[in-house]
Formats: sequence, structure tokens, C-alpha cells
Amino acid sequence: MNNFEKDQDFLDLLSAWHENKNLTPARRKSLLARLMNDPGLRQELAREIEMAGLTRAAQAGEHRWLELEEILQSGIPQNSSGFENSIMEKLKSSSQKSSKKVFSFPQLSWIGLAASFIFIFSHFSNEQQDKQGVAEIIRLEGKKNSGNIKRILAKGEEFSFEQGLVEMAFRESGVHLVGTGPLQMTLVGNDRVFLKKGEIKLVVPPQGIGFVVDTMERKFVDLGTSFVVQANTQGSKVLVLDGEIAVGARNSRPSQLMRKGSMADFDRGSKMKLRSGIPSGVPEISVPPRVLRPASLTGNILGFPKDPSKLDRNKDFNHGISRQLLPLVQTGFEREDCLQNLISGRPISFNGIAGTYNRFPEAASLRTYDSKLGWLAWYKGKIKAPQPGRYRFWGYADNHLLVAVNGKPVFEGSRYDSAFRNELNIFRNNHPSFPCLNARAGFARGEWFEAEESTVRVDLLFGESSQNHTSGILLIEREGEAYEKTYWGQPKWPLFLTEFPEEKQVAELDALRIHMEENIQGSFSISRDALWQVSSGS
Amino acid sequence: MPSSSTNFNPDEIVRDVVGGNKDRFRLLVKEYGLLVRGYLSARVYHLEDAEDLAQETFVVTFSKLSSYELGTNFRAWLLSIAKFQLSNHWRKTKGRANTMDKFRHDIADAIQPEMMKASNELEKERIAKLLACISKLPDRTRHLIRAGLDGVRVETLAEEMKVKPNAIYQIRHRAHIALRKCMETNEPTPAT
Repeated sequence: MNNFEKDQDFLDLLSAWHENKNLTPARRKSLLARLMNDPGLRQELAREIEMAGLTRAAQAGEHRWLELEEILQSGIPQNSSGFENSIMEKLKSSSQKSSKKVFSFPQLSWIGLAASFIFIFSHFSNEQQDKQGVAEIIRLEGKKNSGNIKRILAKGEEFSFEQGLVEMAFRESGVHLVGTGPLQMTLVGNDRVFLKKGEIKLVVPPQGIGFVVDTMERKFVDLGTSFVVQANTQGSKVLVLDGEIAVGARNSRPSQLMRKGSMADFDRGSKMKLRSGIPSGVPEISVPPRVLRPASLTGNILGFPKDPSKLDRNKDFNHGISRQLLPLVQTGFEREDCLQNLISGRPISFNGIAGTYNRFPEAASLRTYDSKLGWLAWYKGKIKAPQPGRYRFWGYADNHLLVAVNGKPVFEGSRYDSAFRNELNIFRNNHPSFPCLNARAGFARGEWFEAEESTVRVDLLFGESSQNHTSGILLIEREGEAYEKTYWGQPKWPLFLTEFPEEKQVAELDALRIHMEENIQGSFSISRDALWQVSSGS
Repeated sequence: MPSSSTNFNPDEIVRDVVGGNKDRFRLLVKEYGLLVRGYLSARVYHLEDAEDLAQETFVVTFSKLSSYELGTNFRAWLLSIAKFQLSNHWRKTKGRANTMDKFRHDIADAIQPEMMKASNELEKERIAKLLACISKLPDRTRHLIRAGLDGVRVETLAEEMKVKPNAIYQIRHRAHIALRKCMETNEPTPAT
């Protein structure tokens, strides 16, 4: 058998296939000619390509068939159209006409009857399932209790009661629902409910992934989670307790993911207001402590003033914070003219960049800044490496992250829209195979820099282009050091730290590390041996 | 991951779905999802495109299910739909294709029968073992296989691993042979 791994034609064909490697016309012609005449090469190439595709797909994780799920769950029989819409329209018009009417179990509204009839007629093939019902009430407490503890609820049936608590389980999906009265909902199917009024909490096991809760305003598709939905005549709201859900609008706009801890309101005008949340799903980390120690690397948080009279409208407004600070970086952090129009918060101490920071400016006393133009924390000082040697940074930030050593930028790990990334031309290598916190972009790494026995000056910029929900991670690698690796082979480089974190922060960082390991297959370490020592904190 | 049940009968599921129990279609997706995604990932450069095409394949499969002839080969029928989606994708992107894209299409044309044969060799019971087999690879090889997932360029990988780009393809080729063997025999993958 031919040893293809040493066959240059085979390797060139692979590089052309996988990497679009540029080959001369003559080379392409000769490769195609060989391919036509060599069945062994064709077979080995085909096997290699198939296997590469399969390993890519397998490692990409379980695909979410959102579009397919929508079709499967739409309740639309294969050869009819608009069934679901007709139900939703009836429910909607009912809501508008009788918003003050209180329904009580087992009284059924005409909507429920209509829904039941339509479902019964359109799903005649599921008679057996309908007989068994789609959900079973486990517990019902409170006013208008029917007394039938084991009541079976059928597909299309409306369920309502004035006051109390109901607990039910869906037969096929195993979804567990706890509702609080006053409650009014329709069991659209074994994997879908329409909530018109009240509050329900759902715990969705793996086999129930894809369970849908409809309200007038939105469609909430479970993606393996526990969440609470409330609905009333004014709108609906959702709180994600665990996992994540997809929130779909009642139009063709794409779904939006909400993750653990996120809460949002939806009004009848279909506006969504995110009340609190961690869109990235990354655990939140406390902002730097107020206490500044002699050993602390210190910094200032900077932003634009809210008062536009203090701004040069043409110069500042269109720039944003990262562009405003470009001259500072370009002059090796020497010229600070560009900071003149900015305001700053209290001095802060550096305790690493890791996780999500939702209230960084506020906690650092930068309260009156213009959040639309962003903020940046600038840490600077003289530090000494834990051991002499060559080092390089790894990391990523949403939005801005830059580190300079002795005035020269050695790492830039900002998001795609940062001026640091687009206008400074700093060496950067992207490693999408090493997952970062909240993007498929992956880790970036900087170039090696020398850190000998003496101290080096470090300048570190980290911040946000607008609003909040900032996240980032900054790790450091020492050349030649052996690091423990993750399952996928990513070294667990240590966080770049100048002080060992306090107990509370260690717990937060542990939560972050667990999140990374469980959700994105990344990791990092915290090591006393990797601490950089501060000799001068500002 | 697909279940490794040898008793899986797609025709039975198709009959149920066509009969109105469309929830059962998820079983087909679960059983053949990785096969279709792998088939498309092998042929499309961007993984996201492959995932979209896989979804479109199952959406079309669902809508055309009543035209599937029971008793024939469901897997082949499904892959023919995936192939049709792929052709459509190539047709749509043809206008943007550069010389090397066209060369890839030429390669694909030249080895089409072999690719189909290679795809057929990957039985679903074996595919189910793939992740377990990957986990048995040495760290360095596993990292390399993982790097292919996000489209890390071979030059970048070669620089990072301090080897020549050709060596990346060689290591990957060896790893794939080891994985195939592991999937067939369920034996530990040899060091690569």
C-alpha cells in the first residue's frame, strides 16, 4: 500500500482542499491528472476528507436545529398552513376583548374550545396520545380546586384557576411545570404551552429540550434549562434560572439567546427590555477593591463627560474611547494630551482581567460618564517577573484589551470593532481553537517579550466601547514552562496577576473556571508562582 | 450523538411521522444528524455553512418525507438530499469562487464516487464511537484535530507546534487512520 503521508501530491491536494493553498496552473493540472489515473490516491484522499469532516462535526458539539425545531413544534400539520397562526389570532383577539375577565377552572373559554376542536380534528392520528393526555397534574392547591389530583390534561385543553398553585408533568418530554394562580394557559401540545396570564416555572430535562412557552409577545424556546415566565394584560417577562433559552419574536426576526441570570420584559408593542442579565453567560466578577496597597498595580478609569459642552463635538463624539486613547499608545504612553477632555473615577487596583464586569464604571466611581462612548481602565506601574525569561500574553476582551511593556504594545486582544485592533497594527495571532469567553473568535496571543531580573514598566488598557456587559480574560505564558492542559489540549496558563486574589475573588474565579471548563472547554489557572511583583504602582 | 442501536428502523419512524406524529422526526435527526453534518463538513470550508446546510437538509427531508419509498435505503435517500443542498450551495457561491475554489470543485468531481464510498463506510454505529476514540489520542494530536474545528490555518498551527505545514497534514492523516481503526475495532488508538 502506498505511503500517502509522504506523497507530496497527496499533501498538496489536502492543502488545496482544506486551506485553498495557492498552486500554479501547471501544478493543479498535474495533480488532477494524477488523481484521474490513480484510484489509490482517490480513495485515500476521499477517506481523509470524509474523516476530517466527521471529526469537525463531532467536535463542534450537538447542533441546535432551531429552524427545524420551529417547524416541528409549530403545530402546523404538514399539509396545512396557518393552523398555529389561527389559534394565536383567536387567543389574541380573545385577550383584547376580555382582558378583565377572570377564567376559572374547569370553565373553558370559547378559545379553548375552539383550540381543542381544531386540535382534535387536525390531529386525529394522535387519538391514543390524546386519550392519555399530554400532561398530568401532580398537585393542585388553592381556590377552585377541582379535587381531581390526578387529572389528565389533553392536547389543546385550556387550564385556568384563580388562586393557588399547580404542579404538573408533561408525559413525553418530562417537563415539570409549576404554576401560580391566577393562571390561564392552553396546553398546545406535548411540548408547547400558551401562557395567557399568570406565572409558570419550568424545569426542562434533556429530553424536553425545545419545549416552547408562547405568550402574546414572544415565543420562549427552551434549550436545556429552568426558567420562569409571567404574563398579564400588559406584557410578559422571563427570568432564566439555569441554562439558556431562545426568545423569538412574533415576526421573522431571528431568535435571541438569553442565558442564566438574564431577565427581560416584553410589552405589547413587542419591545424587549433586558432588566438584568449576563448576556455572555460568563460569571460576573467583582470590580477591583477600593483598598490600594503598596504592592498594588494601580489604575484609573476614564470616560467622556456626559456634559457635551465639555467635549469637542467633532473630535470626540465620533471617536469613542479607544480611538481617543490611540495617541497615548502611539507615544509609548508618554503624551497624555488626549486625556484632557476625559473624566476619571477613583484610583483602582489591578486584580486581573477575568470574567464579566457589568458594573465596572459605577463601582469605580465613574458615575457621570457618557456610557454611549465607553470607558477604559488604564493600569500602569513597574513590575518584576516571577522568574527571568520570555513571556507572552493570551486573552480576549469584549471590547478593548491592550498591554504594553516598556511603552511598546506586546498584546492586543480586543474585539473586532476596537480602534486598538484596527488602527495600531500590533502583532496578534488568533487561536480560534482555544475557546474564549463569549465568542468563537478564540484567544489571541501577543509576541514574546523579555523580562529579566530588573523591573519592566507595564501599561494595561481594558474597557468597553459602549454601555456595559464587559468581559475579558488575560493570561500569561512563560516560554519553556510546562502547563497542565485541558481535555482539548489547551494549556491552563495562569491569570496575569500582581497580587494573589482574596478568598472571595478566588471563589469567583473558581466559578469562572468551572464555567469555562463545563461550557466552552477552556480553562486557566491561578498560581502564586506566576505572580508579578509590583515595585511601583503608578 | 447518534444512538448506537442496531435495531433502529428508520422506515418505522418515517411511517409514524408521515402518519402525523411529527415529534418522532427528532429520532431521525438524532440518529443521522452527525452523519449529515460530517458529510457536509467534509465538503464545505466553513463549519457554519455546513451546519446551515445540514439543517436545510433535515427541513427538506421533513417536508418530502411522504415521498420516501419505504423499504428502500433511508440513509442513501437522506444523503442524496444533503448532496442536492450542497450542489445548490456550490451553485449559489460559484459566482464568488476563485481559481482555487474551482480547483476544489474539480477535486470533488474527480473523487465523487470514492467520497460516497468513504461516507458509506462510516456506519452510524462506528460514528458513535468517534468522540471516545478522539479522547484516546495523544495530547498533541488531539489538539491538532481540535484546531481543525475552528478553521485555524495550518501555517498558524505549524508555527505554534514548531513543525512544517506538511507535517500537520501528515499527523492529521495518521490520526484519522488511527481513528478509523479505533472506530472499527473499538481498540485504543495507537500513538500518533
